Parts: sequence; C-alpha cells; structure tokens
Amino acid sequence: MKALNRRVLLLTLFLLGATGLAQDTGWLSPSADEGQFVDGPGAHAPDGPFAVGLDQVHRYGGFGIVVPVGSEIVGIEVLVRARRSPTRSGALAVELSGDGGMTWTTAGYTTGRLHPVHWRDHVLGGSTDVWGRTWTPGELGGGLFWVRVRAQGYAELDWVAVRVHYREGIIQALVVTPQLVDLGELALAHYDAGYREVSPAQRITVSSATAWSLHVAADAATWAYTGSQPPPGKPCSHLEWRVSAVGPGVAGPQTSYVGLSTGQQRVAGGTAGTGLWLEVALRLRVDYDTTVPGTYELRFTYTLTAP
Amino acid sequence: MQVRTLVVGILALGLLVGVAGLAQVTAGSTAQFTVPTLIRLSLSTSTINFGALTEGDYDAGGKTVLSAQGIQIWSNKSWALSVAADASTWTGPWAKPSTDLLFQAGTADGRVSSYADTFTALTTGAKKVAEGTRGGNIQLSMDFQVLVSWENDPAGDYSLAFTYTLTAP
Repeated sequence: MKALNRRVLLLTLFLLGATGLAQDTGWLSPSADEGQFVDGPGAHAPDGPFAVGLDQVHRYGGFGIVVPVGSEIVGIEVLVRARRSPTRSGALAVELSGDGGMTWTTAGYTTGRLHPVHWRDHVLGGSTDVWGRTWTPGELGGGLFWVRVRAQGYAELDWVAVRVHYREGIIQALVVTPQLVDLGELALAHYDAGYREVSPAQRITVSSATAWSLHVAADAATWAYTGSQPPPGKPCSHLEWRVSAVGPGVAGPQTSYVGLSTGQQRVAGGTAGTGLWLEVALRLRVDYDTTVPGTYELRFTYTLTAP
Repeated sequence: MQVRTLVVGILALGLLVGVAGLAQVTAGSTAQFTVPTLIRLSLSTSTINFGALTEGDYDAGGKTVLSAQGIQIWSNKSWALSVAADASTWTGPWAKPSTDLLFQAGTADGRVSSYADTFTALTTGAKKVAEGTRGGNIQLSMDFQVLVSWENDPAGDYSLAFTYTLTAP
C-alpha cells in the first residue's frame, strides 16, 4: 500500500513538473509612496526608519515586479511589518490596485490587532490568493501596481513588501527557413539517378519553455500538378526527408530518409531552450511514371508540440 | 478502498494538467519543381558495315544484317522516332538511290506501341521507325538490308549517311 502511494506521488510530481510549477518574484520593496502617513518612505525597507499612520491612508508603489509575458498570476502576498503603541489600539488594512490607483480590490485584508511593542510580520493574501480578481503581468509593472495601506487607529509601519506567484506560460516558437523549397528544374540525370536531393533544404529553429517534439505531415496526398499532361498523381511520399544536422538540445532526430505522408511523422524532439536548430534534407523521387513535364507543388506543415 | 480513491483522484489531476498545458505551433512549407520535356537518344554504333559483298549477295539481290544497330531511348513524354537519308543517293561509283537501303525495327519492350516491323526503304523524307510511351532505356534493335544487282552496282565503295530524329510532341 505504501509503495503504491509512493508511486502515485512520484507520478503526480512528474506531471506537475512537466507542465511548470508556480514561481514567485521573491519579496519586493517599494520605491515610491504617497499619502497621509508621516515618514511614508520609512516603510520602503526593513529596519531603520518607519512610517506612522493614525486613521490615515497611504499607498506604496514602484515594486519593480517583473513577470514573464504570458504567465498566469496565481497569487499575491503583501507583507507588512508593523506594530502599534502600547497605549493605543491599531490595525492595518491593505488593498491592491493594478491601474495606477483608479480602482482597488474589494476583498478586505487586515492585520488584525497589532502587537503593542514588537515588530511583527503580517502576510496578507497567499500563494494562491489573487485578491478577488485576475491579474495580468502588465498590471503588475510599469507603475500601475500599488498597495494601499489604511491605518485603523494608530500604526507604525516598518516595511511593506510584495511577492507575486505566477506560472510561466508555455512559450514556443518555430521558424522554418526557407518556407518555399525550390527543387528547381529536373534533368534526365535525375531520372537516371531516381531522385533529386537538396541538402540541407531547410533550417528549423525551435524555442520552447518545455521539452518539445517536432512532427511533419503533407497537406495533401498528392502533388498539385500544372501542365499539359494528364495529372500523374505523384504521391506525397515521393518527397522524402531526413534530419541532416542538429545543434545542442535536439534529440532523437530522424536521420534516414522517409517518404512524406499525410499522417504526422516525428522529426525530432528536444529539451527546453531557445534557438535550438536542426537542418532537414529533402529528396524528390523521380520516375517516368509520375514525373511528366509540368510544374509540381506540395505543401507540408511542421508542428511543434510541448505535451 | 482508500488507496483506490487516491489513485483515481491523482490520475485525474494529471490528465487535467496535461491537457491544460498542451501547446502547439505550426509552420507551413511548400516544395516545388519544374519538369521540362526531356528526351535522349543513344545508338550502339553509328556505322552499319555490310562488308564486302559476294556473288551470292548479288545472286540474292541484296544482303541483310540483323541486329546491326541498337537504339536506346529516354523520354518523359510520349515519343516518336524517325529516320531519313541525308542524301537521295549513295556516294560511290554511281548514283545508287538511297531507297536501296532498307531498315526494320524489332523490340520486346512494352513501352514501344508501334514500330516498323517490315523492311522500309530509306528516303530523304522521314520514315517512322517506332513510337511509344514515356520511359527510360527503351530498346530497339535495327536490321538493315542493302539491295544490289549485277546490272546496276559496279565494284567499289559505297556509303550513305542517314539520321535518326527523336521527338516528343
């Protein structure tokens, strides 16, 4: 029973790892503030000076939050290091804005009654708490993100900091050059040889945030023919391909020639990375039965997947 | 029972995460090429040598040389092969007409749809040798016959040039 549970746990961890665990920015301090607190900048950094509020409102910004484009924001935490006076009651309420202070979150987050003597860290929100709304990476940077602190009674604020949790999006890029492969004009020598080869014919560049797999398939079962002869129905399999060269990070390339088909054929796979490259050679089967005078065209598509 | 529930729950989670994380990018390509009309004609020999004729050849009215010449054809289109004498007469002791040279073709190649299977006299006008469908290394065998007579053909050296023409209309 325990062994089974362990295997199930490992399987779960593997699946989560393959799709990207949430990451965070670490605690980020503000660099700007405005409002009613006395010595507002005193909360820009821990220790040292502190800000003081008495039933007042102050807001902090300039956290320098950087989240990769395409990421999903999954949680926001706000840390306030605060205390009150032994003789006065006090608490702090926190709200967030992603539009420069035009609107604020409605969900209320408060520290509760502050310690009368010692600084205490109060973490509001959480790694899976988005404060009642959705956020985009753009709303967290560029001076749009602010934290509003409302002193309920008397409060001393030593530090306010923000930590954003996000899950990076799967960013993929696939570049194929050239897109048009001109195999040129055939000669009798190509009939004699049985093929016309172009190597390399295409260079493929892959960028992927995760492990990836590249496939290729013909868009049609036969070449499109233009000419004076009856269409010979040259099959797509007469365009053969293979991977002729690869760069680092590319694994399992198909290095021997295979005829193209309308079904997906695996070209190569690889690890996460950018600018990963491979080169593809193309070989055209030439015979008298299916290669009559005229022009021929075949479209095919590369598909990059990151399962 | 508890373990079974855990397994089902976690596998379901894995499936959902996998589907949500699936990403795909495509890039289209096009291959193209052009095929002109391509033909090639090859002869095994360019000279048909009848050798020195004998009295028997004169008595027989001529001499025949079988399989005197092999012809190979390559064409990526239907083709036609013809032959014509370069001149209306032989060079030699007298103006022996080109029609005294006759040819016939033979083949077992299925890509040859028709051919001159009886002896045909050469003229300066094109005479059909064979025609056929596209293919490579299509083979024909040529037989030649020269006509001679005691009355017309004195001793001497005779020659006649002729030319094959392969077309793929």
